[in-house]
Amino acid sequence: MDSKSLMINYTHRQAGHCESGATSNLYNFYGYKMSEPMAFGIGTGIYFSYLPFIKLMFAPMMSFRNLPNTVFRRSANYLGVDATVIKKFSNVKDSMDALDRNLEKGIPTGVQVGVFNLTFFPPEYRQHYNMHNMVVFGKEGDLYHISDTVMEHPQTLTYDDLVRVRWAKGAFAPKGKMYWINQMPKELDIKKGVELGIKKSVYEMTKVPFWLIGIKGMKVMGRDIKKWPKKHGNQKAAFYLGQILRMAEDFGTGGAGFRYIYGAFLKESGQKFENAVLLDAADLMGRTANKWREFTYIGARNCKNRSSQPEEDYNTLGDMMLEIAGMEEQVFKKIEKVKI
Amino acid sequence: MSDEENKELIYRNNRELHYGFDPEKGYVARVDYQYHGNQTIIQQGWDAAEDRLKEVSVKISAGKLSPLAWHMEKNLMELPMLSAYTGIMKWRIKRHLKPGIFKKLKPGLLGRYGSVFNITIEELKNPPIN
Repeated sequence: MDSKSLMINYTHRQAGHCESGATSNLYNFYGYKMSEPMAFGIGTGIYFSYLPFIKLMFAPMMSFRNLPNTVFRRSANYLGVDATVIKKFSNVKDSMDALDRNLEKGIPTGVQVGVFNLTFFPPEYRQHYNMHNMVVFGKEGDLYHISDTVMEHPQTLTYDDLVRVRWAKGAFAPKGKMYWINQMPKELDIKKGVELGIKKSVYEMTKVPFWLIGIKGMKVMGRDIKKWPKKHGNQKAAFYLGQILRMAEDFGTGGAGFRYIYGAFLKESGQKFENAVLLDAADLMGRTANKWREFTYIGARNCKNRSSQPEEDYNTLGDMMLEIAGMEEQVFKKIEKVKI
Repeated sequence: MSDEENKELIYRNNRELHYGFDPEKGYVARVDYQYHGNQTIIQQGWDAAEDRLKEVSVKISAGKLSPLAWHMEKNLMELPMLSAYTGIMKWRIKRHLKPGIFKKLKPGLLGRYGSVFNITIEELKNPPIN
């Protein structure tokens, strides 16, 4: 390995969500001011799915955001940006050589990684979670320079450590996935991007013909929560509830399961295009997100001091979830036919 | 975050960016530690892992499971994942979870497990169980 020093003049800015943060930072590197919420909204990051038959970390799986790489891929697509995504490599060496070639050309490159062996990551978050994103922007000898938007500052990883996280195994294994921007169009048509992004998100949140995706899934989960104490006992119910809270509030959500980021996107778009419908929806999304926060707050108290009247408490929480689902439905109804 | 809550924080490793919404001020962003209520939930996850590890330790001491089980639990791994990391078939790993069979394993195989867990063969054979 050569000991050349390659450093790209890349600006690390912290963000709420790893992928939209990486995407927005990449756009900024190429000279387009793009906030994190805009990247998230255009890239249709918002999502909901509830898959109780799949167990993740021993509890039902749910997701508050789209599949990995959606935000980068779709935002580039909708905005007409020339970008490349390599979904997987067949072997370790190829994946690292391709990364090195990019760095030599001065291209900051996004990589999908697992966080379990991510040495600079806060220990409390190091689980087998493979959908994390970060940008590699430099190399000095054996050391790679990393911009991880969860962290306050840029970090470094050795060659071996980077291989370890890029080739993490398990659900959604990254298999060396990497992505970058080749070229920006002369002009970014943000308006078109916002329109397309909203249209897709409305579809995914309200119209997918499957009962566990989108608002429908939230309602099913709300009804399930009520049954948990009776069905699984108090202890397991608390653990399941904890899963919802962890998925909604852990690192890289920006809080309240990405609902704040999406609301901020609606707000920014509304201001940019002076659209009252979007501003109105942004306000409602903010209040929905606050309701999510309230849910996690009460839920956390519930998990901490096991309640003496579980059935009643979980009933309340279930009702709250149904209320949240109703509010989110309103948001997407509002923006469904928006003209900007 | 109030000072009172701040005192109780469990984790202070990294400040993150949090968004929020104030009906008056609109959307706000701040950089701070994860708020206290949520830290409790994160800890709940790790407490559960700790409990599982204790259960496994008891079984190993009783001669019902091999030390491999301890390392799996310590690394929060289940069969399919360990199989993917090591390239060893699941049914073989299942056999290696039996103490008698584990004892007879060749260094080559032990080394493969060790490299995945990032430990030496000696450490693999002797997990810190009290």
